[in-house]
Amino acid sequence: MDATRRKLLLTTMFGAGGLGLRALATGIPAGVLATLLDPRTAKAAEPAADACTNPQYIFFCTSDGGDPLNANVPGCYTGEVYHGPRAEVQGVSMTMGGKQVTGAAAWNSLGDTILARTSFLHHATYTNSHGDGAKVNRLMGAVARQEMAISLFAKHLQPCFGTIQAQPMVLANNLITFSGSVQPVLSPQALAAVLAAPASPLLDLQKIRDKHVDQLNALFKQSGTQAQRAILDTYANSQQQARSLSQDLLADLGSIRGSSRQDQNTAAAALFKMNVSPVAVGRYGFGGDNHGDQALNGETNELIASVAGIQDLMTKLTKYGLQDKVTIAFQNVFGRSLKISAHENNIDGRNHNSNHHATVLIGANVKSSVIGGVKQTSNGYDYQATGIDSASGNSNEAGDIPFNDTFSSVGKTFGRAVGVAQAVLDDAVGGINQGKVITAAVK
Amino acid sequence: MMKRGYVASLLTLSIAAFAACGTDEAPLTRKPVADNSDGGTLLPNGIPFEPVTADVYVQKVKTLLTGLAATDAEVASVKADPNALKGLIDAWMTYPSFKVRITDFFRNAFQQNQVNIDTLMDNTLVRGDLSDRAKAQLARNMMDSFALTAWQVMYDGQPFNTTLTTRKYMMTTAMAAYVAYSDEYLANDAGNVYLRMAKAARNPLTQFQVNVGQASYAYDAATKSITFGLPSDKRPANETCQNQMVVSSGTGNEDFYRGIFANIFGRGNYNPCAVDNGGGWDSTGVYLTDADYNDWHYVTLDGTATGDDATVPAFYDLEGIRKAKSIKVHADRIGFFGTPAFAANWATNNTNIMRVTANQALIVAAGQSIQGEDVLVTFPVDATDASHASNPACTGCHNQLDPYKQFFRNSYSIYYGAQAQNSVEKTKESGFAIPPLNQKGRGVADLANIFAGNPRFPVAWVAKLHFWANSTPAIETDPEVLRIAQAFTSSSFDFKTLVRELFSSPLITWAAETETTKTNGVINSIARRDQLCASLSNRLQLNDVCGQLTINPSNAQRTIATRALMLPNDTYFRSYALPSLPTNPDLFFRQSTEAICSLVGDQVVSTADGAKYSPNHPDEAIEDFVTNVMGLPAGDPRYAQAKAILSDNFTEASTVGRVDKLTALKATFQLACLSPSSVMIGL
Repeated sequence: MDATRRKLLLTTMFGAGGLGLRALATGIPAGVLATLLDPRTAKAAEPAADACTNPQYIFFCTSDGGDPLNANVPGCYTGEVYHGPRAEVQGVSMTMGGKQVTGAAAWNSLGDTILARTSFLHHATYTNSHGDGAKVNRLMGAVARQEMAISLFAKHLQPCFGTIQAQPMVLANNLITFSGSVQPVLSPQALAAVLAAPASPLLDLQKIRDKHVDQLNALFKQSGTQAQRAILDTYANSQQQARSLSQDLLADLGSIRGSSRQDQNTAAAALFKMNVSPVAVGRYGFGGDNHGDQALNGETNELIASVAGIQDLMTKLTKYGLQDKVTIAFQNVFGRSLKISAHENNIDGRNHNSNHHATVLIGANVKSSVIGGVKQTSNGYDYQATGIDSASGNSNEAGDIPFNDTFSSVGKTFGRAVGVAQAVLDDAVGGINQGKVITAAVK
Repeated sequence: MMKRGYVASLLTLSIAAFAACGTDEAPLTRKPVADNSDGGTLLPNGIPFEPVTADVYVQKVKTLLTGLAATDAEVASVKADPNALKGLIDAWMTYPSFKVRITDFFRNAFQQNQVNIDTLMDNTLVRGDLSDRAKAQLARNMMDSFALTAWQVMYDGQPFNTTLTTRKYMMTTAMAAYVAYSDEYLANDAGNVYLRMAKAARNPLTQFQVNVGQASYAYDAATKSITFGLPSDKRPANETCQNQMVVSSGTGNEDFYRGIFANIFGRGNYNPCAVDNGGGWDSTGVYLTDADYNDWHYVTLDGTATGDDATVPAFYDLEGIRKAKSIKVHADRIGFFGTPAFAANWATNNTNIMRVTANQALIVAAGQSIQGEDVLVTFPVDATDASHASNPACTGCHNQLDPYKQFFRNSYSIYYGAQAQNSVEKTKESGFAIPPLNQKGRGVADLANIFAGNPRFPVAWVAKLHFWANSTPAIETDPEVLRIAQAFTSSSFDFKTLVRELFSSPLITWAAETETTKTNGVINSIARRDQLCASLSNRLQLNDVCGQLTINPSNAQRTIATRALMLPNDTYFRSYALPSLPTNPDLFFRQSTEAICSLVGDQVVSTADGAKYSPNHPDEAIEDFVTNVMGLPAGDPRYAQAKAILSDNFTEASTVGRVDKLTALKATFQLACLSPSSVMIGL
């Protein structure tokens, strides 16, 4: 092409002044450009007042498998609740928040330091369908605007940390949506391969290429529809995000070999340290969909492995100085049957239980506690979660949190424990429309 | 102001009343729905519709269908006459690249992806060893088998609902041998399993032997023996392994036949040369060659074997398997849900008892999903379960799902083999009472016919294809959706008619507003993994550049495949009527595409003779980058500016970046490859 004509074309496109036009010319969204040019103008990215009190990154483990996570936690060593025969799931005395409780020896092996910041919260998810995993992550409709609770938290935590993106990083096979968009699953192994990009002479040309990609963005935006401009803005953002990655921690990702708990931990810890997103989503097995599980061996083995996984994660977080900045949460689609008659009087497994589940929170803002508990259903078929007294955390059918609000209340408590402002959680338009924070579980 | 926002797709509404056990929520549609509590605030995905020009939509349609860029002449013909698009689509459907793209769609639409051989064998209680490479090859075969079957149905002009009733499957020799082997296993609902041929009454072979020397395979029906010739370089180093090993079947034992299977599938492993003893050998490619994993042909699985009858041909009769047009099997393998891939995807168990199988099959066949399928209840609902007895919605679920899943129970055990002869489940009456149908029958053959006659079939497949193309749900009552469904029906379910009508429709082109776009708005999407890899492969004449489909990928393919793992892909989840199709270009998408574009640039830009792009001819290269890689032909209003930007990049890389012309041209290729029009759909 003739150089003069080329210059004319480019001048026509990029010669304009003013932020809006410069945004058009560079292809970078005006909001991002404003932040880059003058951080003081980035009003939209500023957190609301009270939004950043002890904010926490979140490692959120969830699964639609309906694992027996609920079966061996403190509070489930009562009455006719059955457990496997092995020592690791026998009830032992544990100290939680100064109280003596009984829980699986495996949970007790977490150690005093971790248990001092752990809460076991008994509640229901009101479903026994694997396919309701996404609904459960929306707190069964309690989160406004069809948002997932974890995504709601991510949106409000992102400005606190100034992370590269607000969208959760999904490190294991889970369906997570953010503002309605399905989030891709990023296997830890692939993360390592992609982020730890090999040296290439093309890397030296990155700035030149980025400038020209911006120009191409601008070209397509010129004649684009609103929908086209929207995705072009997102694409421009992705370039800014990519350039913000710290190279220092990428080497740690090189140790990843698969998608084990330890690999997920490595990926999550490094990505938190790189400040990529406030939320990583993982998947720890606690026994899976164990309808048939001989002597509950699968359940026992996976509980042991998951407890070891938690300890491994704490070690990795400590290495990065993040031990007080990350809250670990386990919450699945539903719990499992606790009474052996609800599993055909057969110890080899458990059935689904829509009426009881246990969420586990571990973090700096979490009070060591066992919240709520279980009771037999009115027809004696199985166990269900009880009502809760929010101030004491005790089981209380006359408490201020009835059975039907236990799940949304756990959701709000989770939000508070990771530093989401109370006003945000209670916002009728954008928050959680039901339940209340269980103050006994948060500092 | 008119309230706008995503309205739940009507795909599942016909069963919404009973679809949500334990809650009164609307069924999940995988897309945001308008929330009534916020005054109708738009969720971010629903962007108001604006029409686009032929410059945009001709590229979109051709890219979706072939991965190729539209030419100036093609765009011009549509500008002159929008009806010309149908003719172009007909032509594009003859391209080999269309086969790649549409079989990508079929693999997901029929839920045949995500196959792992270990998982399959675990789900079906089939026992046997295979080498890792054989597992990878076989998994690839199984994922492709039904997609190619659907392709052949379409190519032959058969009614597309044949995919629901066919017993003829595209298979390779290797896959057919596996199917014949696995069919010899009988696992009942209790998990008791045995290999039929190993029973003393059958025991069709007397011995096999392994002779170290030259590669050979001989099955001698007269002497009932098999001789494996093992190449010398495959001989295990373990000193206990001798140069000849003879193994007798005795009065029949499973390990003997497993030994033959393992040898055939690449994992020689038999005492005293067993892996446990430090022996074992990799015979991948020796008895089943690479050609045996690529010789696609129709095989009918006839389902006529009963009791402990032999599966014919036997899996070890490799010449017989290679020639077989039909295999006499025990299980009634029919339609997409009779495949090993479907079994590999959807494990069931003794309390789920094929509810998941039934529900996923319903999603594929009719675009409907019943949630709550995993609850143990006796049908009709047992009132001892308070949470169910008190909840009419749950009662509805199980009144629908349990009699429906019985079709599968009639034919298959929960391990997907033939149902045991003496099982009480075999003869129970089954019922398909899912609107708009209410029919009874027994077995999967009856169910296949019910599926094939379901009035929802045409509209469900319009919706599936629409979602694949646009990543947003269609509204089933949209007159344009109904028109296309009617055209599909009138053509006797000719799939090409469906493609032609849908992809020339404003539902896809967005040349005009439809009820769907008016209500749901539109979103533009990234090119997900399959799409991006197909476009790069087809536009640059590189064979399966990401190594997604190749039986034995090269190192270059493997390297790119690792990077491509981070690209969002088309997939599906349990119980969701719509697939999962991420649309946003996020950080990881960006990192992946940058890495892939760099690696592809290394392949296509070179100083070597015959290189696609040479630094000695940068202008020609840049011209092709713009028209072919970026999809902006000379008549496109953005062509000149795009070419100017690329030319500047080449110049600056050379002058400011101070690199040689080869590196500079690679950098410019990477820029073109990262252009919005290269990595996104519909720009």
